[in-house]
Amino acid sequence: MNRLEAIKIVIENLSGDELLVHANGAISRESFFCKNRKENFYLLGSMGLASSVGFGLALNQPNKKIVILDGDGNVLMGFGNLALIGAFKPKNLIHLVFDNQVYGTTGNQPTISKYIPFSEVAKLLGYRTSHYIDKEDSLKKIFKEILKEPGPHFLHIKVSPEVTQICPRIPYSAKEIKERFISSLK
Amino acid sequence: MKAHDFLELLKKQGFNFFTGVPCSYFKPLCEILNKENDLFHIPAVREDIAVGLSVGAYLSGKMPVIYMQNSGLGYSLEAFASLHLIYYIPTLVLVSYRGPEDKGWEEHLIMGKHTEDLFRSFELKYSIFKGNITEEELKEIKDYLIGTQLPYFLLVTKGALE
Repeated sequence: MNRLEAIKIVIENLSGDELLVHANGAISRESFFCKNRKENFYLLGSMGLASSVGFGLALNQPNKKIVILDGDGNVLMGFGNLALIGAFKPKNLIHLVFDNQVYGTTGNQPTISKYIPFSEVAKLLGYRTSHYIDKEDSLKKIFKEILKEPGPHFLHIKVSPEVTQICPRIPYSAKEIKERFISSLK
Repeated sequence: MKAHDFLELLKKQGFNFFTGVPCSYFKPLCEILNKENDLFHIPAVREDIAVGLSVGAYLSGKMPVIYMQNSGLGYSLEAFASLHLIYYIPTLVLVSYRGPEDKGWEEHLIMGKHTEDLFRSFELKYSIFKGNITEEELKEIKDYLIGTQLPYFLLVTKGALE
């Protein structure tokens, strides 16, 4: 599966009002292409910080599930976030890492992700559950399961770097993204 | 000014979520914050991560405060530029002013020399906090945050908080 196919599975299997925090670049655009939800927060830049924003939300929105859609380059850049989430263990946090092994938007330069056992690292750092997934049916099954269980959960989702669909940019300004998101919480 | 009194003034203005990375200048403040619960204070592992965390807190209705050394300001400027300054996230940021006055720390010389230039270059509103701030002045800062939806920086000098 490629990343768009994996994101589509996640979006289709949400149970309702989960809050989604997206890493910058193609992850934001592909999720927006799958479904335009007010409960989605898109980082336009700030590589490495989607999980910081998601963690801040998870702490302060204990009655909502927070799903972070992250990439391998992003996680490697903000690696300290894994330690922070593992230390504080927010029960309502789900951290998805779509690992295509490349910096896709800048020309497919390789990341070092093939050397990094993300799911083992996350487990050691204190995530309650952690999985490595490389098939569509197991992604669907495990994602649906963890939505019902207390976290924090970590899914290392191996995807191919192949891009079959170029998704358009988010048509909102940063301020509009914020205002839409906040309005969904009221 | 006593860190305790400063914190009480901040609470009175509605600030209710703290995150950051310590500086020796903030030792008295951190001693109090570290006794608070996870909903009020999260020690971050890097300053830019604290910047990201404050966004999540603000989106949830909190009034965040970040604390960091000016060395961490370097790590954080891009995060402020791509988060607070474009999404409009009001946040009070306490930055310790290492460098100009505490000679003998070579690692702080360059950042100390340029800290205020950085604020001006990024058009970040700031003032220097030497240990005296009134309730009225803090209210003005809070009004600025609410009115502009932008961050405000207090550059904290040595011994300002005790």
